[in-house]
Amino acid sequence: MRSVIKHIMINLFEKKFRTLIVLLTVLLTTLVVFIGLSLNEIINNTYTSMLKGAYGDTNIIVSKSDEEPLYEKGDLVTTNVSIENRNDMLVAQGETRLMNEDVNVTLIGMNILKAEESGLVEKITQREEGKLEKDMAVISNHAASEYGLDIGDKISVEAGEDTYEYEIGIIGKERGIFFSELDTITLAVTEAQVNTIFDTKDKVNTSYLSVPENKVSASMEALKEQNPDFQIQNQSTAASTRDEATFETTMLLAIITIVMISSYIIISLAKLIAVERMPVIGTFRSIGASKKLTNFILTLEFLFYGLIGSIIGLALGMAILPYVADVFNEYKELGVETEVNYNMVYLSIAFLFGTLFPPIISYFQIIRMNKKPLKEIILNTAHTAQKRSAVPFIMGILLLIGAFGLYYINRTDDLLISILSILCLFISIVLLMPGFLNAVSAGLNFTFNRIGSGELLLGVKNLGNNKMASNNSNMIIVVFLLLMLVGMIASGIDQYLNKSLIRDYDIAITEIQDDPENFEDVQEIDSVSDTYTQYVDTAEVEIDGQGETLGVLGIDNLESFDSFFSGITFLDDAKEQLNSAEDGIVLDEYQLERFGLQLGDKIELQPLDANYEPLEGEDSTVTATVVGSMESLGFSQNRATALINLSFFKKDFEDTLGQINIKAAPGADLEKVKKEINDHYSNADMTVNTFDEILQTQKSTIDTLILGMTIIVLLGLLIGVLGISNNLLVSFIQRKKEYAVLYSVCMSRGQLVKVLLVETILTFIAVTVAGFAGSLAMNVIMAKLLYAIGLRIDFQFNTGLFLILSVVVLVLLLLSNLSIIRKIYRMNIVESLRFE
Amino acid sequence: MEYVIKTEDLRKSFQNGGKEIEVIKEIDLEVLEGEFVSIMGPSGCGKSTLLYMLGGIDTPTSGKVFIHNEDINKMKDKQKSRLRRKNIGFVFQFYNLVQNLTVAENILLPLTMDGKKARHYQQELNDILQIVGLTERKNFTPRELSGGQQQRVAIARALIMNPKIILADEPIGNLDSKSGTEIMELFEKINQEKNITILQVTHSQESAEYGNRTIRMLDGLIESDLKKQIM
Repeated sequence: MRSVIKHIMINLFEKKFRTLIVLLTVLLTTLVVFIGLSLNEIINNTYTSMLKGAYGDTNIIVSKSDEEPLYEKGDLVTTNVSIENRNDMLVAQGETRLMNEDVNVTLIGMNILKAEESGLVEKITQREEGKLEKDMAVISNHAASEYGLDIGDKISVEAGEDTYEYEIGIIGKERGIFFSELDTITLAVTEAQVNTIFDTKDKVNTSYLSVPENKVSASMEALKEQNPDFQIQNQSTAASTRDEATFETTMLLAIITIVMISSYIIISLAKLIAVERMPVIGTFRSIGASKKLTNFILTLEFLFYGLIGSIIGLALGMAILPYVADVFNEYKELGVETEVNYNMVYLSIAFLFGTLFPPIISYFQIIRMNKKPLKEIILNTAHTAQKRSAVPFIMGILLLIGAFGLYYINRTDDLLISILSILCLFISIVLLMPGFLNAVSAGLNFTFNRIGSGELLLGVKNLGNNKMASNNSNMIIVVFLLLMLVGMIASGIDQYLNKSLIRDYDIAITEIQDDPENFEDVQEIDSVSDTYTQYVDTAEVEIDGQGETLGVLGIDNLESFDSFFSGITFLDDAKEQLNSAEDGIVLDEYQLERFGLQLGDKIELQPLDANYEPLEGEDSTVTATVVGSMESLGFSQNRATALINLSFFKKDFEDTLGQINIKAAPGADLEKVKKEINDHYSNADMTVNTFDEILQTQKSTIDTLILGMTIIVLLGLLIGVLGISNNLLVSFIQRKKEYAVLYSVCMSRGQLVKVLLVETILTFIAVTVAGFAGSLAMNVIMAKLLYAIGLRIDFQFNTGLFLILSVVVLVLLLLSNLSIIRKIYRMNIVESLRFE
Repeated sequence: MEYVIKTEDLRKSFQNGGKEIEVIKEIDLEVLEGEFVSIMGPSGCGKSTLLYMLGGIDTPTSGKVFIHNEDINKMKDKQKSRLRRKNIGFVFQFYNLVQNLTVAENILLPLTMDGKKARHYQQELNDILQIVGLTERKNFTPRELSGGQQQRVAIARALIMNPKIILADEPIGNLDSKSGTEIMELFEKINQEKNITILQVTHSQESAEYGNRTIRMLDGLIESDLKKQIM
């Protein structure tokens, strides 16, 4: 055993460059699997930490939804609710002037001591007297440093028609109520003081409740039952804007992609290394070692590669995980630190994958190689010619048909079928590549037979028959297509956000806690040219086992809706039909085609509440009749908008996501209009954002996803480049004898180099042609996958990226050839002819 | 008669473990046109090294090799390759065919690398295939042929450019006796009918008998050089 290990170690050290490439491949694969698996959990934890920072221990948020949003603490019935902490607040908006600029102020009237207990306020410094007195306020350290404020400083706040002055008594951490304090300043004061502004007594408009984690659902049920006039929200859904499922799916796809690339490269490396080791194995066998033992020796070598590579990969992964995770922390701007933790399960999965995958994959190759006659193994008479077999080609054709077959049967955009379809396409391209190269070679041979030089014709011949050229092309094409895939998704989204999405409003008032009708006078504000009050709820629909969450819009006046929103186009007489049908629903034409719906079909909708739970409990569905179709891509990228009449909406749905859309007069300063709206409704609980701000939020989430995929696929490219370099290196070792023979019988070294360059250029052309065809196919098939994850936008073939990648491939191939050209010129012909 | 190959004070040494080992020592050799020379000697005596130096594949440490009175070691790589293509045919023990080319393509390879169009040489190809008895195997790849057949392809490749010299390194060393005899008879035929000079390295006395001159080497030196009529 000791001599076996010694032999392996000598191999590892003797072939330093080879060992380095194999180790790097295993290392990067392990690293990517580990980071990819860990990332989602880290981002979830960071998000949870962000929520914790914003809400402290609070897990239920209560507000009043009727016309009068203020209530007395006693109005909220909490019988049978195990409340651990309760914070009642009264929020008002105001304005102050600090450092010569107008700053919006949010005044929160609350009990500071209770807020401290719940983690909503965390003191850093306070005035010596300790207790917060009348006309004193708490500010955050962020506001203190931003505006140069300190204990004892005074702030004048204009709220309504009066001005109030507060002295800073406490400076707290940038958490809880001070969380996400961007461009505004939050002042925590006593309840009584905010009541003064409203000219009320003992009133509040929001209550934060902390209940035991295992009693959240029961408590919410009890609260809802006893307080029908109140809106009861789970804290996590109240703040939930993060699309976890999409992120997880994308990360999973990226990991699958990287594992596929790495697997292919490890298989390829295993094959080549096994070929190279065969003469030594032949020697072992010739002196009496059994096949089993020699298989074991080679497999053990791969285990060593796996072990060393995965240990270094994990160490490196653990070292860089915090930095990578930090890149994905969307809440960094809000001061949320990335919550990095090292999950043992992910560590184990990555370690086992990195360690065991190389020996397992190589084992099959080794067995195959060791099956050859001993004489062939000892003399290493294995050849570099490509064995022609129709099986891979037939399988490739079948898989290609399968890929498109799955595409066509996947009517409902099922995620699993979409992934299968893409996998089939990838494998079919890899299997068809040798056949394609053969066809290209035959075609070029036919074309140049009369006019081509000997070097050109030999290069052409090698392209079709040489397995090394075929291996290289496959490796390049896999990486090429994956990069095209990411590029097309990225440009598709960019195209959508910048061109397809119609800017139907300039400003939106969202998260409205009061009756939207209270905002009717928004039109009176200067520079507001048009408004539309949107009643929105979510509803689930399930047809043929495929579910979809629809954004249901209740429409009062179809004409004014149609003239306000140009992002939605009614098809045929959908508008008239919706007008006349009480339970009518208009869906995007995509959804009609997807679910095979016809006009007149009835669908069951399950309306959801603000917590995305059934509004009236399980199975409380509402039946709607499909009366028309529309094109809504310019309105929403998921094409899951459904339009119904407002009367139908008010009867069976709840306005959980309602918003008021505002069009500003041409040339109006949107920031100014936004401020005026805020001022105008200073007492209302709402959020005002410009279209660009909303777009930016969407864009940053998608950008993070694309960044993730790009980083991982770039790592894939790196692994691919390593694989290609290794392949070229090994192909030189394999072809050394071929070169020596050619040199000895008829060719100069210069001619050998010419043949190599012809092969390279032809490989490049073949890869670009295959890459072009593959990308077009991918463009079609990928659409289903993206539709399955909710990105229902148009994807275009990215010509720019295609050209860039083509140039990159050419440069990489030529660069890799430099060392081979050097080797050809330095090759010892006699040694190569006589010895292996 | 003209000397087709001539060496002057030819030496070759290798570095091995820091020591310089001289494998060819001061060899002066002259080979006349039409001679069939067999070089014999124990393993490691330098016979194959000598053959490769004569063919311009290996370079001597010192001394000169003349082919048709031209010092090949003064030639550039391109000139050497042209010389090998046009004037010298090589035949190796393990055939050394290009595996991804057919029999015809392997045979025509020196021709195409010389810038000639293969289609203009179909008659020559057929003639050579007939000589080596492989007309039926024209479109086969090497792996579909037996060892003897592959060696015939290698001989055909060596002959396609009508060279003046054939250098053969253990041409029947990897063949059974029947195939070996056939190959040696083929060499004899080529030598006699085409007047091609043949130098073969061999361990076999039997195959050496096909030639008309036998050179015996020992430790890098020519031990004896006997022409057939004297033997």
